[in-house]
Amino acid sequence: MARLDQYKLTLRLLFEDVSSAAGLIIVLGYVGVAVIDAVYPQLIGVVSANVEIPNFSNPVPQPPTWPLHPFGTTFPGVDLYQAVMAAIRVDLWYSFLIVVGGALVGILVGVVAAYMSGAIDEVLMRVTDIFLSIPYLPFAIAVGFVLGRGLDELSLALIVVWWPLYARYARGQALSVKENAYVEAAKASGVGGWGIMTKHIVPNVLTPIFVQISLDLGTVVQTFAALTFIGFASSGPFLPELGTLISNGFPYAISAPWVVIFPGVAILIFAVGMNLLGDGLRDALDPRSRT
Amino acid sequence: MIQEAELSASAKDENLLSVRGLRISFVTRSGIVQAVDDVSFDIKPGETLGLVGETGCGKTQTALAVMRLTSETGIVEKGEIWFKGMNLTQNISKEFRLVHRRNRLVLKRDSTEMRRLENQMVKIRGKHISMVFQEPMISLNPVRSIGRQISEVLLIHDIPRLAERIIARHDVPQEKIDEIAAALVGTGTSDDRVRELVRSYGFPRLEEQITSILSRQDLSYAKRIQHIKELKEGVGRSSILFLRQVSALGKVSSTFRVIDRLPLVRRSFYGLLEKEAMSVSAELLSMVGMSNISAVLKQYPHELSGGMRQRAMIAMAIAANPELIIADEPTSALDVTIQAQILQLLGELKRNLNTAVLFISHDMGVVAETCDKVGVIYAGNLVEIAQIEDLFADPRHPYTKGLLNAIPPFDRKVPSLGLIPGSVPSLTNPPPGCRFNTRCPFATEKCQQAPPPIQVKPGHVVRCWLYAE
Amino acid sequence: MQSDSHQDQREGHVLLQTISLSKHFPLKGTSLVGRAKSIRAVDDAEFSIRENQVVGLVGESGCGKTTLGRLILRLLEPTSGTALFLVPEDTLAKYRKLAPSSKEAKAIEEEYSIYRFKRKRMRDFRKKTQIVFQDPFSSLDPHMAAKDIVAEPMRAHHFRPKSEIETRVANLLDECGLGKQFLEKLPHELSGGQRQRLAIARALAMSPSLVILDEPTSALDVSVQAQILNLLQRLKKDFGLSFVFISHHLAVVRQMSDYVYVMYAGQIVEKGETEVVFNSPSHPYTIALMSAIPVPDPTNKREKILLKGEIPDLSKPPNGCRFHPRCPRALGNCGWTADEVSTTLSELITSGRHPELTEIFRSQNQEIVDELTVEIEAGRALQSGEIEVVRSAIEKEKENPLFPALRAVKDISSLPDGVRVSLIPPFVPRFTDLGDLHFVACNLFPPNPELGGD
Repeated sequence: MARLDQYKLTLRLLFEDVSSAAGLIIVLGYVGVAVIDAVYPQLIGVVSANVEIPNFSNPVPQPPTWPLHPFGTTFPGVDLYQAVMAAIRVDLWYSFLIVVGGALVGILVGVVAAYMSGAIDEVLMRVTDIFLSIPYLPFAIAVGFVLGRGLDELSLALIVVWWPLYARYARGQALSVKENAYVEAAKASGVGGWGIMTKHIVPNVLTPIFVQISLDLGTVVQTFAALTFIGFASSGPFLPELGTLISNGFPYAISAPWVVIFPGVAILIFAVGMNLLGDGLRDALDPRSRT
Repeated sequence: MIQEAELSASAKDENLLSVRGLRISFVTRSGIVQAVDDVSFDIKPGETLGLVGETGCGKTQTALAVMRLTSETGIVEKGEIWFKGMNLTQNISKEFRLVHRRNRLVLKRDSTEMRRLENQMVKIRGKHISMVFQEPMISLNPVRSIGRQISEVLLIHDIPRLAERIIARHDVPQEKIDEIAAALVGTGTSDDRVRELVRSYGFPRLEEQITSILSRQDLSYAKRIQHIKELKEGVGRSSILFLRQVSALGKVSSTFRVIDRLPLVRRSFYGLLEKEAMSVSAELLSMVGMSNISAVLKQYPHELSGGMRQRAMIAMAIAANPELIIADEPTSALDVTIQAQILQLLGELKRNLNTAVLFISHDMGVVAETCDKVGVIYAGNLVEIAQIEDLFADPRHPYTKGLLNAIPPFDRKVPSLGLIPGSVPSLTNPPPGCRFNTRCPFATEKCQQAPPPIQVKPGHVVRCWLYAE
Repeated sequence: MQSDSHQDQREGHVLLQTISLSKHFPLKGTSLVGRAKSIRAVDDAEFSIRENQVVGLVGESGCGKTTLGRLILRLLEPTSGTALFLVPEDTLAKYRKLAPSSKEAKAIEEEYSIYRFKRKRMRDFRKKTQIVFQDPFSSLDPHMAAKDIVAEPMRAHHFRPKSEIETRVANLLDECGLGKQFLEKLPHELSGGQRQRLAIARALAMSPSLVILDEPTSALDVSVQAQILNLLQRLKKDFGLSFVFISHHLAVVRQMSDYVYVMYAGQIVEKGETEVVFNSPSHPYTIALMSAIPVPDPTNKREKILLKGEIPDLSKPPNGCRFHPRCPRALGNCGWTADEVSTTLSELITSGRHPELTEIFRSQNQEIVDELTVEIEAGRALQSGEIEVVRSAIEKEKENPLFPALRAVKDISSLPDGVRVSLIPPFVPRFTDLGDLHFVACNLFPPNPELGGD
């Protein structure tokens, strides 16, 4: 089928360039870790899925030893390796949730605004502008205040902050797609407005949005971790989440640097990998490089 | 009677441009595309050669190769391009290598060779060979005014001419200019009479300037005379020194470039040349029939209509007096009535400037009106080349005949249009031998071998086995 | 309302007839003061087409043919005027005689005007009318396979039984010369000619009666164009279709059409049977257009009529006949404005052809008093001989193609400080019946009062 060939071609193009291949491998690695951790954690040496068993015998962070504690331990006596592996899954999940959630809302708003134009366009865009002007930090804190400081609430706050970007972007793309003759042809064929939006405009808008999503994932992971670092969602005894891990270990950063290095590097590598993948995708999906 | 069309070395010399056995290939992920294969033609000085063919036949690529503007994935694999006795493709095979990488061929270039070839071409582009493209909206710089874009051509390629113009005016006393202006009133604008008159006063270097001002259709006659009177403006002694040096050196020396940057001096030398370039630009725009020139000079491409943009492009192309202009579908994007104007303009310029033109088009009608000689290209092969009347009156190659039959005749209805069955073959795996053999109604076994060029009449060459004996 | 019975009454009804159809596009960002500017893309178009006919619409860019095509299909809403679909002859005749605001006229519109159709009638209309676009690249959704592209209109119109859709798609593609191997292909895998065949197959999906072809072969090579044109002719015969063939390519239009409409700057200037119009073009624009076409015959060294100037700005179209600024045979009442005459007078005065004029009007100040009056300042009153000089100079230069606007000068009278030039009022050209169902809108033909006698 022609569509499948297209995907295969994209994959092949990604592997041809060193940096995008590296990005792809990194991202796949992380996704792999997350999936395995959810399904069969023992495979990567994680004892229990969600909550780590604190080693109260020694809450002070211990340096890395092999093979018992490859990353060392962190306060309050948790094996850092297991914590990081579990945290990767949590972070990835929430990041995808935020970005995809924001993209869905944004695409909906953007495409409708672009296609309907006129008053609807104006209203939707002004609403978008309002949301765009919300600074994410105070807003997240406010949401935490009202709804509670869990990770789900944090994600909701970030989706609210994130979707306007996609709305703007999608609207721009949709405006140019709308001018194509095939949209007019669909109209002449009797396809209704909604049909045109879903069948013709959205699919042709998705490609650049897809690239944007992959680039954003790296940013979101960092934002998410930053917010948990400053204390969001710190209710509960322990939460496998990279930002929280760093925050927990922060007091010991000088004497026991590994407690912040490992989680920090985990975030860093993911962000870099996602960025490389996003760049690579943009080049691979460019029609000119596909001939 | 087979007569293999072979050209001796001396024949190459009398031609302005000689292309021999040109093969251009592109390295793509699906293989090597032989876009142009074994194309040969000549253009004499002042001659207009048309290259006609359908989309993807390689005519544009051929033209781009002459200018060495082929894209990065393309190479001139074989063949020679001679321009004014200079081999533009000398040792071109040293420039690239095809290497196998993961069972695909990849192109590798040698940067020293690239630079050598490029340096050679830089001296030629714009000055000796210039180009007019199809879509002026994308070929003109959208953020520079028309005047500046045309001036740029002059400032890059023809600085001595600008310097000499200023010097020529400086050397003529004002009273003489007034005399000439007075004598011109009432002579009309015919070039020859004006030239005679100016020459009789003994200032040959002013001829060009005065005749171009007088032919400015956009100004009233009175204004033109006034411009002539105002020709001489105060030019300081240091400036004259500078200009004489430029004229002698052929360019602006680095000393002056540095001096010109100093705070108080600030572009007072180079600025002179820029101003002069702007005047010449105005004259060029008048030559291409532009209206409202003083406004247009300051306008940007998007403010002009399609026809005006194309005129501006043509002005840029003729600015440095090239010997050859390559016009790639120059009127395809224009309306019919505007196209007629531009084609007439091109005809006039051809006559007045005696420039050779390589005219690329897919429109047989346009070619019939503008070209002296025409070559028909199919799928990268030059299948027939002949004088223009001869090609239309007596087409020989089956493709040429099919093409002419497929055109709806303007003067009547026909029951149905002539068809060429099938479609253009893929150029990645072209048919062996004559590439038309997959669609030709007369194809035989022999056509699997490439037919040699056969001269059926003086000046009419066909590549088809039908004419071999 | 103008009569447009350029086609003989063969059937009992007209497939589609437009009456005084106009479309003005508002220009955004115009000043707060003064009238909002709009682009008058189509003005007062009278167009009709019957069953089994091909009507050609020719003209250059900006002439309005594309807009008219879209209006006919109701892909655009008109600014004024109407288009009646499948209207019987006698109803049409009656409608023309009625006052536009009368109850009966409105009733007829309610029944036949496509701009009044809603829901069911609109859906039926969409089934019966279709369009094939110029650009075979952008008219096909790059993400859809060929079979889905053709099936789309069937799905949108809820074609039943659903199981038959696939077969019908395959048949249509086959009719258009695309075999089974093309069913799954995406548009970018097809050549230009194949894409256009796909677009044609899509247009035929719901068995329309009328197909608008908007420059269907302009983006294609000559040999491919021949294939597509032959295909269109065969489809027309096999399926009993009517085509509106929009093109700037006169030879192609001649080949394909039974009737032709020539458009310029938003208006129809000439119309009639194709052979008649091509053999005896009457409107100066039509004549210039035909002479401008490059003919593939190098021995044909005919004199081309070269039009000066450009296609006018449709937000400020020329007065009267929109072609008059470029027309080689413009008359005095073709629409010259005081502005145009004033500019021409300046050019005449400064041209140096009549030094006496240059002397008298040295200051070159002019004032446009109103639409039909221009005053030229001389600084003093003119003596009797001088007025004669001015009159004869203008009279002499009226035939000069450099100063056509002078033909609008009616009278020159003396003022205390100069002269007053009064102009002939413009006469908007009306359609003249040249016989043989050939109509032209040009002041060179009656009923122009300036022609005298009529």
